[in-house]
Amino acid sequence: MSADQIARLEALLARVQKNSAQPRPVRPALSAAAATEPAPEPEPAHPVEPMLEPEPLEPVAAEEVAIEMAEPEIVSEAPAIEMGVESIEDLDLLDDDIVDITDTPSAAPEAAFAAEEPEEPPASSRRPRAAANMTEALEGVADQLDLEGRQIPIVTPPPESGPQAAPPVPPMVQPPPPADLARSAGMDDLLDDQFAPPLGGPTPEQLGGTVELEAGGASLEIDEPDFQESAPPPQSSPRATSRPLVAPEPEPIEAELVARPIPPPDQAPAAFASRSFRPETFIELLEASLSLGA
Amino acid sequence: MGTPRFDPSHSVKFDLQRGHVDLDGNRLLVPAEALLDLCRAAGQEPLADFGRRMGTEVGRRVQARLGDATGAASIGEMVEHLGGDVALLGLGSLSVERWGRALVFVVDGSPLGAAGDALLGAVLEGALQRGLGKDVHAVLLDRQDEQARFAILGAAGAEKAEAWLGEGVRWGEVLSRLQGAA
Repeated sequence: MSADQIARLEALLARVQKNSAQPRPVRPALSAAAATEPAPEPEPAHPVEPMLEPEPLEPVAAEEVAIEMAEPEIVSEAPAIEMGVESIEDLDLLDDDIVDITDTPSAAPEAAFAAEEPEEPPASSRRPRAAANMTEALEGVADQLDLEGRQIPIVTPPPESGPQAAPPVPPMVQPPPPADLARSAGMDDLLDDQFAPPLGGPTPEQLGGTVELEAGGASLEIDEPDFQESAPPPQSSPRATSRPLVAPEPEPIEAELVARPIPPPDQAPAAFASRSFRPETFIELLEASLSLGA
Repeated sequence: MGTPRFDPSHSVKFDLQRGHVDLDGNRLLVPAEALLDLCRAAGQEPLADFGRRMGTEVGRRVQARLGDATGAASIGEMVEHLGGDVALLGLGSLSVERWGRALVFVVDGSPLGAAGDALLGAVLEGALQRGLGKDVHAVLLDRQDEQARFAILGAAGAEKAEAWLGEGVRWGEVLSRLQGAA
């Protein structure tokens, strides 16, 4: 190390010591005004009993508290000053750690860098560069794919998921009626079926015929039911067969009538059936009942 | 002139301010069990008087509504009014059966149960006596579950019916015998 550098370092050290010796601005005490403010007078817990009212605190005591609170602020400033002095005094300046930025760089390193050949960037260091426009991007993709051996047109064909012909809609066909209603072609037939013989009964051809029973040997003649004699209406209009859409007005609710022919546990006497007594008024029935057993 | 319908609207009024229940006069809402205990302790004769007094109120109300049409009221109309007032008392649902010439009242769903059948019979007697001016006897013929059946008879018929019932004759046979004895 030269004498010039030593002189510079000494001058720097002296300047540092000079600056550290200057007093630093002290921070104001925290909420000094608030600390010196007298504490609020507590409200009495029981206003009815003034004897239990505590005495309010003296404002002097509040100032003492404020002074005690301000002391830690002063203490906190002291270590900063001492640390500044100690850090400078205990600083061990070694020649190896000092880097003189004022020195002019030597020409030897530059020559060394110039002698080296520029290295080619590794393959992984090639960063993709954003294409300026769509054409450049497509060309870049095409170039990359050419390197991989694939041939695709540069211009992307239109997607095939464009407007397509809708599949043919199956015609709406009324579902077949249930099995028990399969024979009914319309409402009239449906109504007629209510009067038709039950399923499994004799067919119209069997009506009026004689069926020979195998076991007993007796003959059974099936009579034609009466409902077959009444011919169905030739052409009934829908209005005639359909129910009225407007419901009739409900009748006023009336109390249920009274006489409930509930047979007693023992059989109802036969004498009751032969009677022809038909009272029209309640008093008539009452008088008749009162006359029983007389 | 037709018979007026039974209209229970505003029949029972609760005056919560004064703590009163009004049904053509002051009424009390008492527990059915408490009333039964009182009836058991009172004995037959006081119980009959108490029931007839209750029935008298029913008959009076019916007669007040029907007026001159009381005698011309049909069976259904009379049962409508009688049954409506019995229902307002909370004694159950009243209906009528006619067996030949015999008039039978059926009370269904009385909260008094079988223990209150004597009280129910007395109520019916008092109602008919006050409403129609007839001295009647309600004879308990049968009770099944919540249904009690009373025959409305005269004094002679009631005596015979009770005697037959006491012998174990079924009520249907009792009615049949009454028809033959008439």
